Amino acid sequence: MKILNYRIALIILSFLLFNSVFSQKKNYFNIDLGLTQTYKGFFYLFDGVVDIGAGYNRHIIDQLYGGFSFHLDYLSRSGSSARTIVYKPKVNLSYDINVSSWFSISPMVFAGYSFLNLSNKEFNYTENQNGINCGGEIRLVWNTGKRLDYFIFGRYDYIYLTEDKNFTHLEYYRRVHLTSFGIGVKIKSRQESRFENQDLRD
Amino acid sequence: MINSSNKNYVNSLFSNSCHQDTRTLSFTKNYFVFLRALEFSWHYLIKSISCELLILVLIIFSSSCNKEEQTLVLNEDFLTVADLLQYCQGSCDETLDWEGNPAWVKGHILNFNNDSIKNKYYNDSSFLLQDIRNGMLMEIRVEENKYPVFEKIWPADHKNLFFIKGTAKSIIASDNGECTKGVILSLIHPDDINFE
Repeated sequence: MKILNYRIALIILSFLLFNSVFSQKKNYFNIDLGLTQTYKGFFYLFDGVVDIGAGYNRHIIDQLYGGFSFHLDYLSRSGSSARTIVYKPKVNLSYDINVSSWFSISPMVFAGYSFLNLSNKEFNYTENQNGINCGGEIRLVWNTGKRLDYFIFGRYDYIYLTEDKNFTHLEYYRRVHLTSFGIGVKIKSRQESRFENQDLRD
Repeated sequence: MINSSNKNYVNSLFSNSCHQDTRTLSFTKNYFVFLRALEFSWHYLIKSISCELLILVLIIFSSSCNKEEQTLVLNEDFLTVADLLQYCQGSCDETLDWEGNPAWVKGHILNFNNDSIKNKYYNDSSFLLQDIRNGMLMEIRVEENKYPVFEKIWPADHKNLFFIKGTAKSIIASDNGECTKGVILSLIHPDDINFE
């Protein structure tokens, strides 16, 4: 009985230990908003309008973070009712490089699967395409030492659409290139913001 | 990664071992060895996943840079305006495989609901076919049988999808000072244009 209690205590301890080691402190949620642009390919006549998204990242090892995000790009063509919305769920890895106590740079790579909804109201036309998505992002983060950190970012998305002869016969049009530049906010867990405040005070 | 408080806890367990059941101590030791092994495995797993993700991104990027030449048969299916425009272009210095060959295209006639535009098309013996998905435009020239061709398409409007069989002809389109070729489609017979 004594050994059993001891084992239960150790299981609880291990849970707490793992919680502190592997999923501790530096988790954060982020929201960002940017202006998006398309280059070459099928959508080159489009004017990107907005890229909005959110993500959740967990601390993994050292300064390495992993997480997932969901972004939405809205593309339109001026003087036309042609519109395209790109839905981009993806997983990502980022690494924090501390430049100073106030600023850090976070390069990020990501991969996911994107869904494109093309439409033209004037012609009652709508169509869906999808394909793998990967790319990179770089963030310049202002570490406020409080619960919210702010950042500016540049992002490149490459989408390779699955083959659909009704959509295009050309490989060239299956490749979609998107760039976004904008601002965002990191919302850290309460615990981390408290720790960081202490660091800054020290 | 096991922090100092945990280490102290383990040490305290070991230092008091003379008062502990030896089985309990052994279990504790094994348990922390297990935890360390698990921690090591976790780090190894994360590192391998990170490497795999990086490799995946690099592979996709490298495949995107691989611009292989693609050959299209232009009179097998009705191609979209965007496809035909993209495929049928090239340098002025060479004769391209599509020049003078039959090509089939589908699209909507631009502003075909506007009577003045319709008249302009008739007077110019040509009209613009657009890809409504991305707004790309292509010129269709009615080289012969102008009246029967336009007579056939007058009842249509801008929402009708047209299917046209013609001949791809090159035109000179200068691009940033470098001479490039573009394409127009030459239409001759009224039977070669239909709409739905």
